[in-house]
Amino acid sequence: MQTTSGQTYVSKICLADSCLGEFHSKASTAAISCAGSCWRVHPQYAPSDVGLSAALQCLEQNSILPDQVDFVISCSATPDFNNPGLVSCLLAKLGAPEIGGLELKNLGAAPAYALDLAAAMVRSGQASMVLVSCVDLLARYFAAFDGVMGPGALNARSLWGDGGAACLVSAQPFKHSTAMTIGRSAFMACAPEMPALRCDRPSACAFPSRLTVDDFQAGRHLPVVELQELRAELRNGAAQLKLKLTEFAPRQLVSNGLIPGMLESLGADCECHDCFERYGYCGSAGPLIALGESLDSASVFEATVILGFAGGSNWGMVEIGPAQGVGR
Amino acid sequence: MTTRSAAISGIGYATPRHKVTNAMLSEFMDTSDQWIQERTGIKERRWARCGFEALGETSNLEMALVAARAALQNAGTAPQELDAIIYATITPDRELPGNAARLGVELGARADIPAYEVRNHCSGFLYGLQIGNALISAARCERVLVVGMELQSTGLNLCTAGRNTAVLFGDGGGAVVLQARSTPGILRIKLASDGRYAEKLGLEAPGFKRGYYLKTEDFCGEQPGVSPRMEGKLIFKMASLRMPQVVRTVLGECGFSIEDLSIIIPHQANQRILDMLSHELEGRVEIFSNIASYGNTTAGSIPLALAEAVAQGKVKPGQLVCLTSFGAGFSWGAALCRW
Repeated sequence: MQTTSGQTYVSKICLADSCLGEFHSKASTAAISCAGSCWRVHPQYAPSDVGLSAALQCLEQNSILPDQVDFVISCSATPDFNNPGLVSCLLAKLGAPEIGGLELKNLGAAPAYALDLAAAMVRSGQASMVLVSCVDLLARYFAAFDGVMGPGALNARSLWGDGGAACLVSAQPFKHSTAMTIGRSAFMACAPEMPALRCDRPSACAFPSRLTVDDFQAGRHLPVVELQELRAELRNGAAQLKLKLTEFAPRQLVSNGLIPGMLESLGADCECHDCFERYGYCGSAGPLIALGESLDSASVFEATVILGFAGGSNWGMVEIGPAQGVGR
Repeated sequence: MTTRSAAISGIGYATPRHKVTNAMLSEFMDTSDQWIQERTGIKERRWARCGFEALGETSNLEMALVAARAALQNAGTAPQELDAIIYATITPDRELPGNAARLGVELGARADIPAYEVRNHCSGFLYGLQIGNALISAARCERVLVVGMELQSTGLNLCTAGRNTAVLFGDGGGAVVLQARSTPGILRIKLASDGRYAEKLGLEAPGFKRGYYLKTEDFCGEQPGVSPRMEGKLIFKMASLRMPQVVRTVLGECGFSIEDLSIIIPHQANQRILDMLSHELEGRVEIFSNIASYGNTTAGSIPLALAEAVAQGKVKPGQLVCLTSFGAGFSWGAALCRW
């Protein structure tokens, strides 16, 4: 039996050390004109190295030891191995004790899922210090592929980059000046039969389900982004999203971006910040990176909503606000 | 301050109809019924596909729909009443996005609910229970659907080189509806992992560790990266250590002893591991096993075994039941429930 009470706090958000990779200019395609850059992690670093970099900084800057963490939520669609998940490698490198490690594969919506779940675990007494790690090295899908790509894969290659960030969630306030509390949440999960953002293989429906040399050479393992369909999915989900944004009335909206100008197209009546121009679409890392950068640049810090997109009709949002009387 | 608990209010399961016996496997590879039974306890498994022959069911999602509808009916819950969907699998219909959000659409659930995609292998269902328990206990949700389902037959290497893993795995799984209640249901969930063993059980490629996702070399050599690896002796040793340990832990944390337990529903990996679990617990509690009929269904095995145990009258209201798992990661855990 569990009890529920009190607030939950989010620590300062830390990004993986930028030295682990380099920023590259985005490449435009026939279908899309791209400005800005994408971050690409150097090949010698595994996704768990990126997660470790962010996690260690987060622990250090919030004066928390690894053995004080009692649960880890790892958000990643790009684990070190096909299985087990990234969380296993991260826990080993972190030197954390034998604690639970959840692997979530909700792409850009994953941070909202993870923060909401971490808050629920803390509020119900099931954990006292949860590490949320968000790492996606999406550019690696294309790293060793020299075959012919279709337009959907070219779009994905152009728009997708790497990223990593981490934060802590606890029932105790953190001492850092940007400590926050977690409030309401909202989600939408309405996957169409043929999503505009997808990676069809490997698939348990296919035979053989494991990838073959033929699949690799034909590029069937590559993710695709169908831009027209994605915009249509976004339009379909926009009404529900706007309704929630009106209800939450945020002063600031931070988000990843799926495509250029996406947040503006939603018509949110508040200050918006995303990391798309600098990082591209970096899956689960995007929303946390955007929030971390926003807080570091000391922009608006009241009734902030962190919004993550995982493809047109799938998103999650979590309301956060300043922790009362903590460190400021 | 309020007191809430999550309890399993409905359960359902689904497997392909087609049974693949050990004798049938010996047509594909150098093996025998005796060899498989002696090492695993498996007599047959349900497969959606055997070699090039599709046997009926075609997707993980289709089976999840069957199991979820049965669980909802069993719970007396309408799909629109669900506040979250949690889907644990390592064999989704598509690499991205996963099956959870699509399951909600197919079930007729509301669109404004979260759909968790869980990738924790053999412990995936217990992680799903942990998520559902947290969401309900913290009053985020009233009713949550937790699915554990796998379709593994399409990915198995049916040559002799692949026999160490191909004979083990089956298709199927189950679903439960978790519901809020004011009396204890799920009493305690303990999850643990040790990433030092990440490379001892799993699949290296495709993966993102090496600076790329996939290369031609991943398909080559005696032990190609796209083939599963499994250090059987180490897994047996660690599972035999960790499962009884974590069962004792959850019991102890709730003030119970082994004698208070009515039954343990373990992940069905290998009958020898289940026998060792029984031995370590000094034979003082029944260890449910259906591995002879279904093989190892990874994230699907606990809900499938639980559904069968309930159907056989082995789990009754008021009894203390423990679910436990051990698998890739290594990760392991236990959930103690008052039924």
